[in-house]
Amino acid sequence: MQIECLSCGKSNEFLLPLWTRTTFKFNEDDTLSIIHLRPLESMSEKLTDNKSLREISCKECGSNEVDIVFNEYDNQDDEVSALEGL
Amino acid sequence: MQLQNSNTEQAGNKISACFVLERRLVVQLICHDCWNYTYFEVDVETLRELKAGSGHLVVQDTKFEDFNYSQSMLRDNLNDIVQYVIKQNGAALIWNPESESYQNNYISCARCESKKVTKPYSHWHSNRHQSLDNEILANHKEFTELRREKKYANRMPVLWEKQ
Repeated sequence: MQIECLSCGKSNEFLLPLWTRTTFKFNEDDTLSIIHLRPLESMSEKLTDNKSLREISCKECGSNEVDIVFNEYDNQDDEVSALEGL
Repeated sequence: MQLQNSNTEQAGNKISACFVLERRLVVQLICHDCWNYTYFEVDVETLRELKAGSGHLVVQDTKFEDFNYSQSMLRDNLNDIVQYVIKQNGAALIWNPESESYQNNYISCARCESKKVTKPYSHWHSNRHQSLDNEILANHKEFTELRREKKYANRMPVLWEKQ
């Protein structure tokens, strides 16, 4: 799997916002303590969903122009040329 | 704001009981169904970092130098929402026509999953609404006394000095 920033093309680090259900409690000194976190979104679903693609941003330049290649070894040109050869 | 029109007085009594039972803890929010005032749930957005390379994907907290931005963002967002609900109270509630009651749009009870979470006490009440003019008029006598005190405050005789 590869993620490529179409803007800067340099970074291999990307940011993805995710919603989590946070269970917290009030302490006696008025502070908050987090006691449990439950993810509300599936990361794999979000990565494969084209609608959520814009939410991924490049850590380096902040651009949302990102391209995800799930199988970089799957080259369609090779398949086409192999079929043409047959 | 009335959460349930019928048993508001009963609710008020129970809330007062809560204050008496636990004086050390200042009750910030309370669930109107199970009277829990400690454990709540809120949906918070946080950031995760994806590092892709050589065929695999690493998911981790976002760090800028040594600062963990993911954890900081989660705590800040949680604190912001809680403080917003405590400050706004009425603005954080939405009317649910099915249950015919106001529900909290952001925070729910972690014990019974009810969304009827509000501040335990609200200064604002629809039945006790008073216009600013009426309030000033009602307190006019008190203000006159205050003005009189202010006028003569520096002219009081000093008793411990011999005239």
